[in-house]
Amino acid sequence: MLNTVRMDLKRTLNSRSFYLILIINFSVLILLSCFFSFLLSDRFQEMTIGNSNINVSTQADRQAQLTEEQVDILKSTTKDEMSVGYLMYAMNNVAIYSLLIFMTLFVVSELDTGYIKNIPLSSKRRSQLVISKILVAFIVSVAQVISLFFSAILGNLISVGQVNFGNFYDFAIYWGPYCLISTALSALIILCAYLTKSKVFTIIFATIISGGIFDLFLRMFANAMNLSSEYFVKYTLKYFYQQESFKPEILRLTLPLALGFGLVYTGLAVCRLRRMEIR
Amino acid sequence: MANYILELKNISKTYHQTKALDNVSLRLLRGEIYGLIGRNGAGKTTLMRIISGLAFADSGTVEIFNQDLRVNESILERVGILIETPALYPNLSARKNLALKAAGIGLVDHDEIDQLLLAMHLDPKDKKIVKKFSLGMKQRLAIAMALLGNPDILLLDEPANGLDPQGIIAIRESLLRLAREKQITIMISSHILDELSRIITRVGIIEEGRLVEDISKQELDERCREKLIIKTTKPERALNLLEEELGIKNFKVVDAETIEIYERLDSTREINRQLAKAEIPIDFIGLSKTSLEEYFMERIGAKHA
Repeated sequence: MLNTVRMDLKRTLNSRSFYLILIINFSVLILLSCFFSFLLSDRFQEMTIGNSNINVSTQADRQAQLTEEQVDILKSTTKDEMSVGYLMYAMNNVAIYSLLIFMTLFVVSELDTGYIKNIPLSSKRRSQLVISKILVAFIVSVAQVISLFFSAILGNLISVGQVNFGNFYDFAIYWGPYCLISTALSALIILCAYLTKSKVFTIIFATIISGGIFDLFLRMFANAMNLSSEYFVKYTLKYFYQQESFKPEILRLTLPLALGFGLVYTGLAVCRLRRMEIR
Repeated sequence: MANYILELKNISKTYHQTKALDNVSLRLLRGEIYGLIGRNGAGKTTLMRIISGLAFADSGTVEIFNQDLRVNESILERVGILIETPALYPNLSARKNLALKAAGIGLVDHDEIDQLLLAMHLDPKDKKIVKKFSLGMKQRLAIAMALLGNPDILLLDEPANGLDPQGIIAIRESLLRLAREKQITIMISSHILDELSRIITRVGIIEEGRLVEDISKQELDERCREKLIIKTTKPERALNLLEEELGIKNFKVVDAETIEIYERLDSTREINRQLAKAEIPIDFIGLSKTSLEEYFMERIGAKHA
């Protein structure tokens, strides 16, 4: 097992797409920080909030007339919220999507190039290949979080001119489970890649599950069945990583669901690869 | 009792109602070089894929070192393969491609990687990525990949594809050395039959999924032995002369105008003189040796011509 993991980790470190996703995550976060910097600038604030007839760049009612007091609260609240944690949270969809794209390329290229033929493919080794990729997904997810953290420090400096780390407990309780959720979703992508052996189809699937389109289908299905859509959506992995913070009651459900989904998808991927004839 | 390193018993495989392999059985001893020949789609690659665990037989057994593959799959660690196209990562160098497999099989000594690359006339220090390799370089790297880890059995599916003459000679010498010095058993398929005939110790001809021939090199040489061919419009008179005057008994009438003689091949001039003296019209007389290619075409190819 260790040999297989060592091989996949070595391949990850030699893979251009691994560094590409870190660069993309960094670039998007910096762009976002520049955008926030502009939104929070005195000039923009005066242009928008200064004239109470013009819409403000917050989640407040766009038609509302703001008093000066309300404007002051808005300004101070928004700048206070702009922390390292906030910036990282704003990147969660991008991070998950880029991880799923990486895993697609990682798995499918092993089949497309035929390199998998060079490994003695006993049943045990086939199972190890799947589990090794799950471990790679987890490690890449952790690497993403670490990379986002340092990027967000720079981003925070760009957006508000200072570094505000926020609450470490809130940080850990979000990003730990996040890594598990993204690993579980990676297991689903690995299963899809082995089923379809297609980069294109798997990327489309990754887009669907990380882009909220799957939620849309779930809601449509629930409506068609005259059921509460919230019930279904509440038990998807996406629902959990889109929470702003993992409160203990949510966390109690997050961890078992992430582990459960992850194990099921991994098991199915193992079954698939063990039966697959390699061309 | 012979100790067979590889034994296939009644292997059958069907793809979408097409019988790819039909009760194929064969046995290989240690150090043998087995040439597997057949037309495209005959079943050569399918057979190798089943032996190497890439595909699964519908019925039959594969035994390696007397161990059933279905019971002990870890024995596949002792098999090196090169099946169809070279299986390499295009954006990595030759050394990195080998290093990945080395990590996967737990090979710690990276000197073996360098030695293999040098043996295949590839530079271990070259950072050029595989995408920029010529076909011959990729093929040599793929062979090095198959040899990594010192396998006991080597399955090579058309390893000489894309190689220049020097490359082909280098591969031939490497394979002969491996079989002789390290007693590696090699199953090799190739369409370059002349080249194959120089290295094999046994040959199997596969046609439409059936192993129609499985003979040793000695037997093959016997069947492809040198002979004197006489083409004449009066074969009966020629035969009488050969038997009664020259005492030749070892011959064969191939068709209405062709006789093949297998003895007294050093007396061609005498035979020719006697035939001329008897005024037997001769269209052709000359020595000939059947190549593996001709033997294969006689055996299989003629009916598909």
